[in-house]
Amino acid sequence: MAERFDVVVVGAGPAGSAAALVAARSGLSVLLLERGPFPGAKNMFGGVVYCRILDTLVPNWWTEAPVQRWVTRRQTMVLADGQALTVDFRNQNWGSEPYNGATAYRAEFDAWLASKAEEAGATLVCSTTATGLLTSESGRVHGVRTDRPDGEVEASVVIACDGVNSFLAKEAGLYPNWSADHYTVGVKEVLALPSAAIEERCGLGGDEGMDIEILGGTGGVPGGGFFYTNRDTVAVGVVLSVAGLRDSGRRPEEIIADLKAHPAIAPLVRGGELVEFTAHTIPEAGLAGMPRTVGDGILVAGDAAHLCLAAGIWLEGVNFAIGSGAFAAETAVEAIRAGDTSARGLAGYRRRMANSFVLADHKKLRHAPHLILGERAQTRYPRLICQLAEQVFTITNPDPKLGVRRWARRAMRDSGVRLHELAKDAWTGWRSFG
Amino acid sequence: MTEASPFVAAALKHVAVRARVDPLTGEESPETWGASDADLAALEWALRLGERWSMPVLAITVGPSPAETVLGTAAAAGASHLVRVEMAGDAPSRSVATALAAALAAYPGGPVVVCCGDASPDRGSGSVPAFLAHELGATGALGLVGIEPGERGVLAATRRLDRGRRERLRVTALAGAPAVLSVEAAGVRLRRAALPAVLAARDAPVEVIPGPASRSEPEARVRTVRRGPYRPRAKVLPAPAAADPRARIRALAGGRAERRTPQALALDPEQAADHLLAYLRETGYLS
Ligand SMILES: Cc1cc2nc3c(=O)[nH]c(=O)nc-3n(C[C@H](O)[C@H](O)[C@H](O)COP(=O)(O)OP(=O)(O)OC[C@H]3O[C@@H](n4cnc5c(N)ncnc54)[C@H](O)[C@@H]3O)c2cc1C
Repeated sequence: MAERFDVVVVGAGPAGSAAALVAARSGLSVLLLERGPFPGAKNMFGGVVYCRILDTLVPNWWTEAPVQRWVTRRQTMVLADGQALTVDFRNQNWGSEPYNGATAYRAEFDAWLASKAEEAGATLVCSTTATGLLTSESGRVHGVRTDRPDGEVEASVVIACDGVNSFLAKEAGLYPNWSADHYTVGVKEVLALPSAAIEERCGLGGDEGMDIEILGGTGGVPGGGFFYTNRDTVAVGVVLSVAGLRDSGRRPEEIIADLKAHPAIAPLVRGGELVEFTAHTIPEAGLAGMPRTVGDGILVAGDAAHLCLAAGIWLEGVNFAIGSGAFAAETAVEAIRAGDTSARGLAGYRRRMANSFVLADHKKLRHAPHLILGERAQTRYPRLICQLAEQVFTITNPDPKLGVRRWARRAMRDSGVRLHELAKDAWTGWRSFG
Repeated sequence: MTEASPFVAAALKHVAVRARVDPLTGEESPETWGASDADLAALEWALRLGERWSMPVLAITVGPSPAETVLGTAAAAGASHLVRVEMAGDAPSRSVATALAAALAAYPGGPVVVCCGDASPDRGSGSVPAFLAHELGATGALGLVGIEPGERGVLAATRRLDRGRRERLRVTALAGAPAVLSVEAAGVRLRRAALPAVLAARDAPVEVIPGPASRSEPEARVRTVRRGPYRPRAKVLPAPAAADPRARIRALAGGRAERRTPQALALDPEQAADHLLAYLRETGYLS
């Protein structure tokens, strides 16, 4: 006879562990399945977690979470050939309680969060892949099949937290509009450097960290770059549109090599020894790529529900995963107690997400992915911004200064930007970010 | 296990199976703990012997409580009895063997065969099985790559010798005159545990036996006087065929060797699959 749990959570990433934690705390029997040998074993990200969402789940999480550095310096960098314009913001308040963002290693962070779920009573089983859903004739999900012998598990609710490209959500028919164009591929190198060198190069003290989000610098392939500091490593990487990468005929490691050679990045990574090279897809289409997140007996959370927020200056997925995982579990608890785990009984999930940052941010920023991955934002605007900066800061004596209006006109001409396009994008940007 | 039923034992060490090495300082910090591949192979052989001879399988480990993780793995795979000898994790080989032998000998029924991994990945010397055989007064067959169970208490074993040779051994073992087998991580993989067994293993009872009071190394006639730094084993390479010594050196060093430059191809999925298959055939991975 198949094993039985109130809730089966598939995937012990941030979404799954948060879901398991909340469901187990409510007294339900919870099975948390992870295909890797331990939670986090198979996971990667750029490197910054924004844990405000953990305040209620794990009070004082900062005293125990495995953090590399507390981010006190954030930069947004626009790169063009041999040029960079950087907005640099430093905030020492982020270096003390209750903190803002922290760099972390997924192998450590995910394992820690999963241990919290276990402490709450969830049963974590690793090295076990959910290979499919158990469904009734009416299509109602009532458990999962795993790759272990006698590996079927019955559950009142399955929470699919199996990450980007969720096979379970697809099998449940929740992804009718799935398209490869909704995804980017993130590729990163982790380079070892002495912590003193990292601190000196980035102007950091003790356990402070820096985070740079980069626009441009991807060799014309739509995407962006990032640079994060850990204790004694730095992460440098790119996020590239899958279709753009294919069309470019280039390899991601070449693009990272070019990024590392850019004069704005080279001094930061000089002498770093490669200790890790990883790649992972990212659901980057925002609201446009989102599946249905509720089915009969099933809820979908985190990247599996396409909830990663990738909007230029923000690349946030872990907090969205934790938030949605927790909401999915709250909904499952409520539905199981009410004895209705049909899609209707689970409908509160969507409502919970809509009333929080999880869907509200996505709604607000729904036009951002298209804008940011567009050709103009990728190549022409970085060129425009850098050329404008070049003109402003180049002293052309004995010629007098032209003034911003004429500099702007010249920079627009040279970078191929048209005024009406700029106005249109500015309006879209304002509606998204404003 | 009935009161006095002889058993097959698997001795497992809880060890850092992967360590993070700081590329700057060379400092190591353990990352993933568990049983080594050789220990898992030993467990699989023990389970096969137990099945074939209708004997229960006892998994035993020496160490502090986190070592019970490896017993959980054994329980999920089918070990019916779990024993942990309470001792520090870094106890010397001789003390570990003494503690193991005392626990096994005292266990009702007594061991017929004890399977161990040949050497643990934390730069273990591989001496525990030999010490254990000595302490138990057992037959020792060490460094095995294959075991074929025969009739109850009889087995054929294959041992790897230097220069690619193999040696076939016939081992007989009885309760009271057991055999200690150490196996390489070769030939078998631990079976995949069924999900109910994995879940049940979480609550499987572990008998905890106190280890010997003193941790000091027993009086030995051979003592380690000095230990040199770790050097990976030299790998024997076939001599390059070229007549010219410079060409031979170049071949050994890999200089000017012909390399295929990486290609990026934009193909539809079917063509891509054909291309991959062709490449695998060409490079000998597929025949
Ligand atoms: C290059 C890159 C940079 C990023 N940078 C950041 C950043 O700086 N900050 C940030 O907040 N976010 C970042 N993200 C996004 C973030 O990593 C994800 O949004 C987040 O990890 C989603 O969490 P999740 O739990 O939904 O999925 P995942 O973290 O992908 O976890 C899914 C889990 O499910 C397991 N699994 C999958 N299938 C199965 C199965 N069938 N059976 C059992 N287990 C299964 C996997 O092994 C994994 O453990 C980045 C992502 C990438 C790729």
